Amino acid sequence: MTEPRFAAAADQEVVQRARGGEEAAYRELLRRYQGPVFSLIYRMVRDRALAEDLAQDTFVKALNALDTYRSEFKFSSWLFKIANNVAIDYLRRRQLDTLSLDGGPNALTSQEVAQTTPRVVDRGETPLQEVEARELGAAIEQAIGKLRPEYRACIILRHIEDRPYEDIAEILDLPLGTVKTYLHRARAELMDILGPMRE
Amino acid sequence: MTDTRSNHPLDPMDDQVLDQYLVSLGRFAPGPGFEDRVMARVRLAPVSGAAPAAVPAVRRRRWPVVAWPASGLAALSSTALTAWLAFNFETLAGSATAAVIAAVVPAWHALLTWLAATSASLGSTLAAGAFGFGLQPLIVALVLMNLAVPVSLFGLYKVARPAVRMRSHAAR
Repeated sequence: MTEPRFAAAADQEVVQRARGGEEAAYRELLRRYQGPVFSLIYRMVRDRALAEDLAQDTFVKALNALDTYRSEFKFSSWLFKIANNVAIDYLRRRQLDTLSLDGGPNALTSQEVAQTTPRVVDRGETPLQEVEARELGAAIEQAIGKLRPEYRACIILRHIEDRPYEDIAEILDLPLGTVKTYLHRARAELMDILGPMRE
Repeated sequence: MTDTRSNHPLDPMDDQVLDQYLVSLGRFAPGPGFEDRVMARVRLAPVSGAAPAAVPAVRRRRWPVVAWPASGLAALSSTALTAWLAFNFETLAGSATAAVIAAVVPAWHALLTWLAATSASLGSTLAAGAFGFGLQPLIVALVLMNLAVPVSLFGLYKVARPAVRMRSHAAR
């Protein structure tokens, strides 16, 4: 939960205070971005325990290098860039696997299973619709998992993290046109993968 | 009962529907304790504005540190004594007793005679050495003799300096 003194503070201000040695500022940055960073990495590597390790590495790298962060850029973009690089580095070393419909492969408790089970958000559906929505959510997650890592990162950043094209280009170190092309192709591939569900 | 098949969300799979379902995918949360695990590995920046804590560190005395002051003191005392004798020789000689003069003057003469006799042979020995081994050993010897005084003075400075120095405390 955000500390009251940081509630209205912009990222840049929190970073500045972290640079001044304020531990609470470090924790605030962690609280703000642990969800988005973990989600991005989890969707990239499809393994919960591994995603936690990589998310930890991401934050350790970023927070230990706050001095190198340039405030003319968005802090979130800088952080996502590190997270994406960490995930891509891992994927280059190892082939990805798929995400289980019933939670991550390392989920031990029912809470972990619930947390790691992909699903679309509740829109007040009937039980049948809920089951369908859950299946659909899992299918979309699986479909995203089948995309090339570059396409996957584009889709996650654009549609789940709601980042503008310019930010995505900066995070992924790609030209703006390439980002748009990747997104177009990624969406086309998703529709192809999800096509059989229409049957 | 509503027929859910007829309006299955992916039925008309178009951009809007895909957008809607992609956007509706939630975020995942890391496990409990994630924040603390990260913080345990983060090096906090030093607190700005705070003076670094000073930890006194006692320097160990090693043998050169002990030898330097000894040699420095010896050089200084012998130089001072020689200078004092040279400047006060007349006074000393005037105030000395006849017996002392009787003993010292012949001794002084003997010393001068010895120096006159040996300086020639000393000079010829040095010249022979210079011809035999070259001038290098002589130059080295002269350099060493000239270095003795500054080295001794440096030793004296080292001993006069406070032995306790301040060391900045490293941030954890």
